[in-house]
Amino acid sequence: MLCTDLSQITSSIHGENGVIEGYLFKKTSKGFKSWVRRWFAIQNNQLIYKKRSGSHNALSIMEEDLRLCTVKPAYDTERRFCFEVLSPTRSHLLQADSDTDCQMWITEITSGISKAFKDAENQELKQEEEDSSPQENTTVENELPTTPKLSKAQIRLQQLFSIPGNDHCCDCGSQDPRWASLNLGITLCIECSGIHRSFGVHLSKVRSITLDAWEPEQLKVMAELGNDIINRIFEKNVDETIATRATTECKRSIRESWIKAKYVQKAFVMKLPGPKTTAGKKIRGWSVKKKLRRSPDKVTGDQSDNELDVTSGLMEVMSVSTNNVLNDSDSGIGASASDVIVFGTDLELPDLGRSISIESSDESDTGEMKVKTPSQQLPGKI
Amino acid sequence: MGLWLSKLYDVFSEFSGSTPARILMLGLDAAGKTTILYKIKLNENVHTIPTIGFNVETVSPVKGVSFTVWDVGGQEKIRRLWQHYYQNTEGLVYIVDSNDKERLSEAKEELHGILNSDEMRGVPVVVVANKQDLPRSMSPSEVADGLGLPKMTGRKWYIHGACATTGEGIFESMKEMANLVKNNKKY
Repeated sequence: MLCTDLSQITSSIHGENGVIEGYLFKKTSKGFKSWVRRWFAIQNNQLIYKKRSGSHNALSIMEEDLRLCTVKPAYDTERRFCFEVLSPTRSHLLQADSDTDCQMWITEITSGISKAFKDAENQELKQEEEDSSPQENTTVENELPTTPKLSKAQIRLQQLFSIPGNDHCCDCGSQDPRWASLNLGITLCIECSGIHRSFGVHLSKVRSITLDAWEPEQLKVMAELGNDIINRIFEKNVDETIATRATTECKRSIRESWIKAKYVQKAFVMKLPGPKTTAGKKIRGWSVKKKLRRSPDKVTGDQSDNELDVTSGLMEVMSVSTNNVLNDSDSGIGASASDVIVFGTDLELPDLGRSISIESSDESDTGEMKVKTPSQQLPGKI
Repeated sequence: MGLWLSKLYDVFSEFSGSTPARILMLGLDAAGKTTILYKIKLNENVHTIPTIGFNVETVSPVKGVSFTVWDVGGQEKIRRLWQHYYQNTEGLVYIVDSNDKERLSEAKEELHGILNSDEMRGVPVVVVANKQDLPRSMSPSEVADGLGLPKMTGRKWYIHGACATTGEGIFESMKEMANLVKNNKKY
């Protein structure tokens, strides 16, 4: 009897892309904490279970918002194959029938949580449609066609993905990257973004394309760069004896040394052809700065906080085709002595068809620094 | 018999006073929250990826002290969910990337947003000025000023410079958190 039950149960578990259902033992939270067998499933971004199999199928919601849940294996319990589902106010101990099943539940609940975040994004869409004004979609020059029924984040994804190379992670080539480095102007998968974050914002400013709010100017910068352009510079002379190329499924250590070699050591950057290089001259990076939005009345009680410029509600941008000069006290990270970014469409051609000028905030005496293309200059340090 | 006793123990432990203090760890994305959590938990440098959702671990950073530390993701859209974690919080650890001067004002806004909530009234806060190892990081006092800590009233706070990867300053911060939580409970 038990055997037939088990075989039935094992085959009843289906897990794929955050969809899973099947039987689990659940430790009751009251009284003597006994274990009961229930049928569990993820439905509508909720974790639900049925009281009894059979005719009396009353559904109970165990967790109503998976975005507020996390799941992990539980080893210190009296039973094997256990995992724990936690939310801010509760924890549930669940037991699967085998180690494989346990792993599967953990994997699928984890992807269920990610899916819940994505779905929440889609739900915002309706609200945004009501609020949105027509100029909202014109934030990027060379406007890309957008269909109206998309959330801001989806529009952003579309816009970024339409930039050459951006539909694959700039460093490992994974499809559908959801992260970006604002200062490098590239898109990244979550794994590679983790490595970029570990370098510090002076090297790479990582943001989520879908989970973070973006300023229009940050998109403009992204629109001018992109994975293809950046890789033509940073992967010009790839030497795999220095670091093995990262791939979608590669180990963390390979990914890390690849990304480090690429951006920190700049090991693969094309050597400069001419003697006139960036050597000896420090050229600054650029920065996109978010100015604090504050209502004036809030600030009146806060006079000593002279870093805040109330008059400027918007961002100041050192970027494409703007002519802003940031004053030094305001320039934040832009004042860091990072060195240069010069991007051309093709650095091998002496005559570049297209030029982009990127200005930088600067703490040198000029207070402003212009980096111009076309030129044969290359990134020194970033 | 053993099982029976362990069940009894489970029942009674719910009512005993030895439950770990609930500590909430927040801060902007990429401040180093997850790295700090696992530094405390495992005394190891884990390589993290952005936290979608949260992590929670029971840790004992100081002898005789037990915390349940909730580390919630810091991306803008996840910040809206922070409020769900406020209830019964006994201490807030707020992590700041000292190297990210550009976003210090954003960190300030978010911090005051948390502290102004009813559920967080009187909850002590330890600010960890993380990434002190990076070349242009702000000092803890610059971070304190930038966050408006000196002007804060009706709340115990403390700031400590730290480097999550080496562990420097992390255990000191937790020790101070333990003191603040303990003192807060007395009143």
